[in-house]
Amino acid sequence: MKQVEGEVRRKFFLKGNFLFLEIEGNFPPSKPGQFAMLSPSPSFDPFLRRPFGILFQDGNSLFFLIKIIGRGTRLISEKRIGERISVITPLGNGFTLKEGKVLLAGGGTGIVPLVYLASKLKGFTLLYGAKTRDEILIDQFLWLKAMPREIIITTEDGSAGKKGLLTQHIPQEDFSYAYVSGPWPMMREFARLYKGEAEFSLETIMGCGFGVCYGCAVRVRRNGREKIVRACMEGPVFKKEEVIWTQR
Amino acid sequence: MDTKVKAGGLVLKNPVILASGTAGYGVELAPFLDLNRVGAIVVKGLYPYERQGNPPPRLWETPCGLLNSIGLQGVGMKRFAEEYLPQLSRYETHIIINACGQEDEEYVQVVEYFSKFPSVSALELNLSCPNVREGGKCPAMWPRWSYEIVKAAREVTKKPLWAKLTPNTSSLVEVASACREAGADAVSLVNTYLAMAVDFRTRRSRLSTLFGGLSGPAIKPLALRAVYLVASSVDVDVIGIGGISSGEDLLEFLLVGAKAVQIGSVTLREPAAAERILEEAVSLLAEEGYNNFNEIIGRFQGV
Repeated sequence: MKQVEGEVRRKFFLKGNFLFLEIEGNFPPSKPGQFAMLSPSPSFDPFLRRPFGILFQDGNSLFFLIKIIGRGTRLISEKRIGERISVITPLGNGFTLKEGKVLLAGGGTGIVPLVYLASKLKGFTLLYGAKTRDEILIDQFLWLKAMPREIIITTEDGSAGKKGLLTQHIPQEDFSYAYVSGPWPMMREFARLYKGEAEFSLETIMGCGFGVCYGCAVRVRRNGREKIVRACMEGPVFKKEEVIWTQR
Repeated sequence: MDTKVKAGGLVLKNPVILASGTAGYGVELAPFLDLNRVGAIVVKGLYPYERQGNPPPRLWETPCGLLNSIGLQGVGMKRFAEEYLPQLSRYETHIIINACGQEDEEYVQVVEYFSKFPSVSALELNLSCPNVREGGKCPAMWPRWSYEIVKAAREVTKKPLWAKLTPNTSSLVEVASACREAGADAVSLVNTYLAMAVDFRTRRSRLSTLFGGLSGPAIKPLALRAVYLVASSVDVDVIGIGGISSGEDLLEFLLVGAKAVQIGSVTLREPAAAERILEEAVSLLAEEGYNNFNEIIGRFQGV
């Protein structure tokens, strides 16, 4: 992990209030499931950086897909091409790469780390759910279609793909492993329904991202004991049997 | 420039200290910051035992700062000594232990334990942690209670002893004075300000606790006044803490009487902030024609 002054190379706005951002800089290599802390402003308001899953890394370029939800994300979206942005990367443990027939399940912005993961896999089934068609961004990842894969889209209102929640459409096949990323209720429901081995990328409020503040606490079960660990260091990816789903 | 200062029984290579709670156990910052360049590191608060801290959520961002209710999660004194201290003591800087206790006796245990380690330079009593004796209130709210803990700790160590004080009291000056009387070499102030954040939609607290501690540049003017009040009326070294984020902030705290400062929340957004703050302060001093930090300490001229 390293703090790097990056430069906004490319940005464009997508439907559903999403921002696609490419930042160039002398970044150390990352792996799927890791994240970066971006600074919304050199001023002290907002005070903290914001954590974002890495969408992709190609040498000196880091790619992000950011949903603009508040002041911090809006300030990041207002950076102009060529403007400096401070990045701390790579952070967190990342996904465990497994062989065999794997399932990727992403809800909403949870798709981001799974796109990066997909780029390292030979084959996979992608289950991707959102509220409406406008929040489904699969067109942006056309290259996914060139890979040996199956893609199942779900929307709550049925405006694209299958109607209903992602968790109502979990394929009834045998997978050797599942990777899950999305809102907490979706992941909790997935964990309840899915019987196989899986790991989950958890999202929490985060202070520093590099392990000093202990603000991003999550409750997990390890060696038969309940423990509070940091999502930024011990996570953000946890095994299914570790996560305690009742914590919020 | 000669950046040395004397503070709380130590000679520091410079007045920039990493505050307890925002620097982990020190080594976590090594990828970002040259730990050899800070005056001292105060490690995350240690109890005699491991602690889980408060349930999530523990953080809420506020204008120019943040609220926290971490609840002093930590590995405990023995695991720290085994797993972190050997690594940390390779750096050329002072290591200061932040000693905590839910009961008065626990402070003494931590102080006594670390007194035997040559790599530990000083002990800072965190008199701002919730204590069982007064239903979660902290000792530094009262002079008498602070006196008792400092006195008991003083009896078991020859190392410099600091007391970290809460601003959440109407008797801050009296508390600092009591610590001095009990044998403290310095008082570190201020810890976080009690504050709250609520969500009108859910009608609940933003944190898992009712109140949290406010820190960051938002509290700097409050902290500066607290440091001024104590430094100008109690004959004790004051270590200034509270929202310090620039070289100029550092010099302001020295001006009103702090002998050194601790860098806290800004580290969370900028892990190498301590180095930047030192560089800025050194060049500001040089620009104004000063030769060292001592020429500015306590030279406030008033209104």
